[in-house]
Amino acid sequence: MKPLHSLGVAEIGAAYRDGTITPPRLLRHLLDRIERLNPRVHAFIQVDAEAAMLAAEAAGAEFARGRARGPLHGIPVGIKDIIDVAGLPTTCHSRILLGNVAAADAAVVARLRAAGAIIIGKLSTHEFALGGPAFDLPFPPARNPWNTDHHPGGSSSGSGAGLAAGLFPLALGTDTGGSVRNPASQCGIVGLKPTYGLVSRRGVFPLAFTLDHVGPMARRAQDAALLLQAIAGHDALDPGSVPAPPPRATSAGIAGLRVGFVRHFHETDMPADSEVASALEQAAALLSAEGAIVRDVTLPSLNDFAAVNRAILHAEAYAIHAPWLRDRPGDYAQLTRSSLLTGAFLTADDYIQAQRARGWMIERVERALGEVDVLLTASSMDPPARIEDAAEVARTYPRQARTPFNVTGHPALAMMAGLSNGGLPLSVQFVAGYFQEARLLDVAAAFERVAELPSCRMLEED
Amino acid sequence: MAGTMQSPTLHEATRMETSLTEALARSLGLEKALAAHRDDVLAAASRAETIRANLPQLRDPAAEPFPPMCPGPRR
Repeated sequence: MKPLHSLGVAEIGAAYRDGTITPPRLLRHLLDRIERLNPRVHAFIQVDAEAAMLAAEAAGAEFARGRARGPLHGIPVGIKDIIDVAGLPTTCHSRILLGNVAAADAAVVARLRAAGAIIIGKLSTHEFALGGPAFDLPFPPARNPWNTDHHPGGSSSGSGAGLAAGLFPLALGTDTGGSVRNPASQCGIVGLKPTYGLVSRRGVFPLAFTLDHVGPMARRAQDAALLLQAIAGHDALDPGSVPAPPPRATSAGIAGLRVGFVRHFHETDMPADSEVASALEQAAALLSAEGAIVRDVTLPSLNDFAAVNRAILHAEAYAIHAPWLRDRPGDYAQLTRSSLLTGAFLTADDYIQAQRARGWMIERVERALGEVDVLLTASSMDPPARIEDAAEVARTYPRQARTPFNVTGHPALAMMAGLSNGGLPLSVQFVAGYFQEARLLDVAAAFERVAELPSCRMLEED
Repeated sequence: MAGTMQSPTLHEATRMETSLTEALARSLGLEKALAAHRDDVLAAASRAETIRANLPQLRDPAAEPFPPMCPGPRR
């Protein structure tokens, strides 16, 4: 049998049902592992061992009575620390919110509990889900389990690092400019930003109202699909929520799939590192070899998408943070403060022009997706930089192709596509039409099968 | 050339922009940030200018900003 911490959700569920393992046994194994490995990767802000063990014992008792609730029953899930868990602090990794204890579960956490999942604790993020790794915060930044000298991406950094290190099998992240997909790319896991409105944002600290998404993160696509099924659904109390059928897994393969390769993103708009470019070509070749029909597709430039994303993000974020920026500017990390202040100097015209351009961009992406089934694009243009090299982190962090799909709201999934010569993950991104998450997850699962992706050495440590 | 307006030098123009930025920051209630983190305030203003300069310009006067976000083309 594989080590407990490397099992997928379906494997854990099967083991629970046949009695090979119990939820308390799995949780104890993970808690031991967290105690040993978290000081190296700093994935957690707070481990909620006591409540998690009570939930695991309750799940164990239900399994013993033959009452399996569904695929997430007894499965430990890590929660990014901008998402409320009743009774636990939501600090947003910030001095500003130290001591802020959530009164109620976020809608997604409530859905997870209803599905029988075990909330294992709160995970590191960039401060208020913005910026990058910072050392002037009340908690250390998460580190990349593939090489702890490097950053794990962000802002859902603890989610990515903890999954790659085998500290939990599932995690929630949030994505406003790519924050689920960045750590997925840098940590060699799977991260999905769903269609805007498919997953409720209620109880999640906002960064930018019209760009924010909550998304599933996992080591494998099948697990991300199971997590998405649990958290997706209309929420009348979230004004951005959209009634839509829950995504259903299908078994479609790659043969006959029409793939639009957005080469200009990484070839001309923002030339990628050669290893990233090579991984993208290999991914396209692999899909072709499996029967996909790959052709080039042109979208607006990354520069246009980035400007629209930044204008909207900074304007909306400033509206949220202005009172603290006036009264407590010294309580932010320098990186966050400087970034958040940007919104003070944008005008109403800037914001409205960006929202108008957004409509044009949605039409362009919709037109492209009318001719192909999925888009294949770069995610990160570079492998993860050394975390303490602030200049290199600042240079490489904005070099990405994720923001376009926060602007348009299309579902987008980032996953591993290979390893750099330095042993760090390289990535690809797949994008589909609105509410076609199942198709994206099918493509990702099929890609996993044919790409023979390695797993993180830390995952193989006892 | 007494009595005529002279174009400001680049240095003067930069100084003028900085003083405008500072005045705007004060008008927004950001005195504390300006006093303790002036470089961050100036960097933020410069970042906003860059964003503005890169925003795509639409020619269609009827292009709608509403709804600000929904999954699908705007009608």
